[in-house]
Amino acid sequence: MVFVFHSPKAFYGITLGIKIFSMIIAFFIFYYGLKAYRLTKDRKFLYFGLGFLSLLGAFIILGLTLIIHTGALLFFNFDLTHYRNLINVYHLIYLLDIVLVLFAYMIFIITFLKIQRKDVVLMLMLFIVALAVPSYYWSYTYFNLVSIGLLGFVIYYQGGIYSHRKSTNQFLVLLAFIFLAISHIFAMLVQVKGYSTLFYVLQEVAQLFAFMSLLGLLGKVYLTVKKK
Amino acid sequence: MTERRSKLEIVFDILAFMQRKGGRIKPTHILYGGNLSYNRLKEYIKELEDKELIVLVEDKDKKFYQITDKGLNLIYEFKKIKEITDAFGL
Repeated sequence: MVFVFHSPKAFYGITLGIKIFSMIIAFFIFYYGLKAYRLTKDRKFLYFGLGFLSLLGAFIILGLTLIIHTGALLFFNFDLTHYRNLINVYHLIYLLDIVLVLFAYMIFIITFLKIQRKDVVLMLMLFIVALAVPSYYWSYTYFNLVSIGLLGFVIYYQGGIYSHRKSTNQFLVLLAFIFLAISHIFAMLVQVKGYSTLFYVLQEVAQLFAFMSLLGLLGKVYLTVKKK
Repeated sequence: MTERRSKLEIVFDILAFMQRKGGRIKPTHILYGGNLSYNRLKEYIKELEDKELIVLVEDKDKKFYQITDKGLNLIYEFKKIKEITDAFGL
């Protein structure tokens, strides 16, 4: 999830489309997490839902920024990045995006490890803020490395579940997290001179595949679970 | 928390058993599906009736419990949620 300005201008619309698609899927999974919590009152479902809500927030922020940025450029020929004060606003948005994405990944780990103690959860969240701040000051590389590390754990956990049960649904979830990790790998490579456009597009496509896998899961559940 | 979850699962088991038996069942037959003692079953049946998930109907002087649309909907939602949360290993 590299910040929008690495995107080739011709790809702005597609980037926005991918963000909106990801938002819809993240919203549905958040909705089911919340519903599971309301039915069972088990906090792990609440955390699970909040993880997707956090991702949803990150996509909304990036999507809105992209709309405002592209709108100003297309309709007023006004490049907002040329204004120093606005750049600071963009940096703030970027920091918020980093925090939300890292929050989401950490919440997934908390959920999968079934950590229920509120004080431990709070400490892990503070730890994420501590990880996010250097990402903001140093580079995308640090943020993406941290993301890959967190997702690596999630993939290891999901891989274990899949190898044990071998169900299609679990495979789709595993695939989604693998594609998310791949998108962060491509995002790191965006800084390679001469290939930034290629890697930007690849990271967006990897993110699209991740959420398509989750769409596959939702679709399969809707098709297999019969009403009567 | 664990108690409430298992309670929900018991409710689901009773409703799913009724659904498998065609949606209408004699009160005594619910005992097999719920796998509960008679006294606990009575509590659950009362709760299910209060929540309008099942209704007591009379047919040819015989009493049956019938699953309502609300009850069927709960089974449907529960199955979907279970499939999704199971897929994530929750």
